Amino acid sequence: MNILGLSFGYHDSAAALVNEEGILAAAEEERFSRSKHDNGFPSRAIDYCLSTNGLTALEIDTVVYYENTALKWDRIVSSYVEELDQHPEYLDRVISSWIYHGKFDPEAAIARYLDMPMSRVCSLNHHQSHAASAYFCSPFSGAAVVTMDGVGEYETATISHADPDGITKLISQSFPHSLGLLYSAVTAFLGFEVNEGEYKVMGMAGFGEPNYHDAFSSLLYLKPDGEFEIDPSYFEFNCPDRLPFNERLCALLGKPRDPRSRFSFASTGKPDPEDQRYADIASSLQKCAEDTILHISAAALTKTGERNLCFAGGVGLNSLANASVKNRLNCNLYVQPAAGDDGAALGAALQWRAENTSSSRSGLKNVYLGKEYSSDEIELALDRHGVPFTQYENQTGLISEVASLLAEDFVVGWLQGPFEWGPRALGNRSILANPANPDMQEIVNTKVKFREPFRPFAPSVLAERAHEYFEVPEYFPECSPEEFMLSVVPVHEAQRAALPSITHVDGTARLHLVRRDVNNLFYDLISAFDQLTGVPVVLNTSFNLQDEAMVNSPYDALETFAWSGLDFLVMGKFVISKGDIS
Amino acid sequence: MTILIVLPETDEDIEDVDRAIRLTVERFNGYGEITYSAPKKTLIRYAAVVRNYTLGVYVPGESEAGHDTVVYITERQTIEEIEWSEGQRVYRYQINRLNLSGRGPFHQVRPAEFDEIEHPHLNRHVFNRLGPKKWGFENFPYGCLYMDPESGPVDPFGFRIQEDYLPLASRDKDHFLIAVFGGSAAFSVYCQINEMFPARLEHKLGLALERIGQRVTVLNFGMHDNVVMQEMMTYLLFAQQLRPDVVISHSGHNDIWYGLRNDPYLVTHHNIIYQQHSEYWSYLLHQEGAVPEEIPAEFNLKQNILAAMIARHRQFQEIVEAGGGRFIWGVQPLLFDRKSPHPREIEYLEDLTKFLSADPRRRKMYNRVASLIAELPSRVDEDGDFEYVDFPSVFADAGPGRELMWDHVHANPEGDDLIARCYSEHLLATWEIE
Repeated sequence: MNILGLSFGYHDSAAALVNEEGILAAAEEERFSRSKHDNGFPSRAIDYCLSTNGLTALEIDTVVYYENTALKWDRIVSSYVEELDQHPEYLDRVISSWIYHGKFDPEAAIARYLDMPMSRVCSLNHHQSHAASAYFCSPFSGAAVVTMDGVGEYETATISHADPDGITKLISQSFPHSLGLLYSAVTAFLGFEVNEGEYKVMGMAGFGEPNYHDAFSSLLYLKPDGEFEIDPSYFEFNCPDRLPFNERLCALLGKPRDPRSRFSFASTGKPDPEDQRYADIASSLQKCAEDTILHISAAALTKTGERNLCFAGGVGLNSLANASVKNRLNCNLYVQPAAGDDGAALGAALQWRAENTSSSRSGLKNVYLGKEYSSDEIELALDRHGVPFTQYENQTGLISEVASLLAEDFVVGWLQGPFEWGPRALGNRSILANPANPDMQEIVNTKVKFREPFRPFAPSVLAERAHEYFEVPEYFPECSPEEFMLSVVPVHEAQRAALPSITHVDGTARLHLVRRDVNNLFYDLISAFDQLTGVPVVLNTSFNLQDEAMVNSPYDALETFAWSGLDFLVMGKFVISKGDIS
Repeated sequence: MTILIVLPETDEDIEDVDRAIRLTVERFNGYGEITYSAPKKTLIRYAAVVRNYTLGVYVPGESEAGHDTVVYITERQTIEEIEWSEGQRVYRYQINRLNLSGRGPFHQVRPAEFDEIEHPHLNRHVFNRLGPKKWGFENFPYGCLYMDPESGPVDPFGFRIQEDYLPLASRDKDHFLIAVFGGSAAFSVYCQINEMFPARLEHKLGLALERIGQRVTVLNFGMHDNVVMQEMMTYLLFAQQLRPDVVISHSGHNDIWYGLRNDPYLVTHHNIIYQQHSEYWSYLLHQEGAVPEEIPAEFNLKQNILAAMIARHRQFQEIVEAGGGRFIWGVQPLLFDRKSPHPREIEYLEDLTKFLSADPRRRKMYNRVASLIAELPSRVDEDGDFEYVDFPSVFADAGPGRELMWDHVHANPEGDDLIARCYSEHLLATWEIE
């Protein structure tokens, strides 16, 4: 039985294909369209999922859409009615947009695209899809499941208990009380783009102190049983127009940051006084988010009596909070690597499978579910654009060469195997560099990725050596958030000078543990780099330019290579030098 | 003969409306009496702009009556629901700046096709006669021509040249000839003919040379959308016989703009960059395959585009030098180059950003063009022996008080004046004339 899960219409459209045996393929549409957070119909992701498994639409038994459109529309209209006086034109605009983008009947769009009867298309609820993606991909038999995001239909957060019999929802938090929406609103207040700038806020938080904690206490307060309330009078959640916050929030936090301004540094590496306030607000927001997530997670563990916790929903990508939950609640945490709406496509398929077949969990040990390109395809792209290359006959020679390049402080684009599922580059579509070079953070930020110089980079480290450099245990349970770059840990104080380019200003790093059984090529590369430098760590960032989706194909990689300050590009066994194409 | 000028129904910048009126008056100067009107809602706003004239209330369909020519200064793309009388000539002056057609502001509405009033050379040669008789491209051996008589007088081939230049082949030794090539930025689509930089260059150099008993003529062979290959062809067809002393290729944007999207084999292996619509012409002719995409999913690599551009400019240089001329590559400026744009330029950039946000592929193309044009001067410099003028740097460093660009590619009259000054200073310095 082949089940296709789909998410689209809002952000991070995706397709995921599963059968009774496991997960067959999964991909975000943005990888094919190269339009970041693409919300369009995921036709290319669907085509990939089918073609890579040699299937046609006729062989798909069921397609599951990730949310309930009627219920979502009901929420939008209900919210609008509350604000009819202030935003009389809002509903007209939303209706036009929904008609234009075909949002009223996603099931019909699916049936049309796949040329199948409507009876084979169904939908689930948004947070049900998230919860399923978290639990059914986890390594746990029994677990508490927490979902948190902006908003689905009405729900913004849920707590469930999952065991082999299924997932039972215990608590549901409803709109407008949404941690995701609060985080996004303050992201916009800090001058960053919603659904994109949240990572920048996390980075900025490292420069600040939570001096606005009291202010945030008036925005969000915690209630018993893992629930919380948000004071919606500071926000424009019901009828979001240009900005999701209002004058009341400005009165509370001060002037919003101009999106065009640059986040500055003094010579000490700290922001100037004007930006310090914004960094403090970011830090306060982050603390508020962590406190809330801890509150919900603690309640989830208590209510279910479990020591295992699963996360999904966009808030699950908050790697600082994930670390805090692990450490403070001393639990086993699994975060579905595509925790945003993309992952809900997979969750929808897995939930339907659990309800209709004897299959239940499909532990997701690695994220390499995307499209892969053969040597012939790589060579064709190189020839098409007249790019000279060196081809290595074997993996050992290739690894030795690339490790040497990294040791010599060259910045390398790295495309190998299938692309990753989720927003993190985990060694198959990565930009790699030497973390020991103190200038490397600025080089990669400004000359390669053309983004803000304060943005931190992640370290990819050999799993068994991580404890030597980071404050982590010697052994990690399987599928820990650190394997998916979803947790931030302190760098040992004594090692910070050795790893200046991956150590954030607050002494932390967003760790990526690399296991040989998960990605042997990447593991061997880091080992070879270790042999040359004595450092079993490489700087790893996603292979893309600012505002672009991560690369998918050899052409994407080549183009990004050509337009960036990358020194070398490695695709399969082919090595391309910038010097040879300039 | 009377002319009615209808002012915008929207609140446009007074500066823009003032210029629109001035250009309209200049264009129809001598045709007859000019009358002004404005819709009731903008009447007060624009009364000050035409303070020496009576500004009537515009009533659609009624105010037009009795006028031989009507000019609507408007942001609208079309003028609808007006029944003009037989023989009435109608123009639209496009006031808004976010008009990515690269077309000048005057658009003939009626008659629907050009006639010899609008384009006196309409029947001069067979390709004009067989052409579309509308603004835009027309087929021509060795490439295509572009007819834009609405921006002011053009010659039978669409160039902004008003004189019979063939006698210049036997000019005196003290008479310098400069031939300018390029796309719409050289054509100076947003400048009137006396405002375009080739005319200003002729004026500036003329003043300096006059003092030493010499003179200069500058001919503008710039034509919308031309890439360097077409500049070369234009040179061979029209200019080589004149043996110009100096040839200026004021270019960069179009080769990048099309080089990004052209067939990779042609760009990469043969240094051929062509106007993208040539693919569509081929499709129309042969009806083979799918309609070519305007913006393909894959762009060419920047190194290959640069290599092709430089190779073809080198070829152009060699041809010019073989004829005893001097070749100057003027790397054209873009609005994206400006370090401190004027507030009105910022406004335009914000509108453009908003427009592009809905189309990621187009946005990426614009970003690539901006980045490559900024890099181009240093690449030309690295190449060693090109004589070039780095306008991206000149425009980057011009202060925020100066509004130099009309849109992201085309300079306004002040920008063209700056371009003319740079060329003039460059030439006078090399000629060692003060």
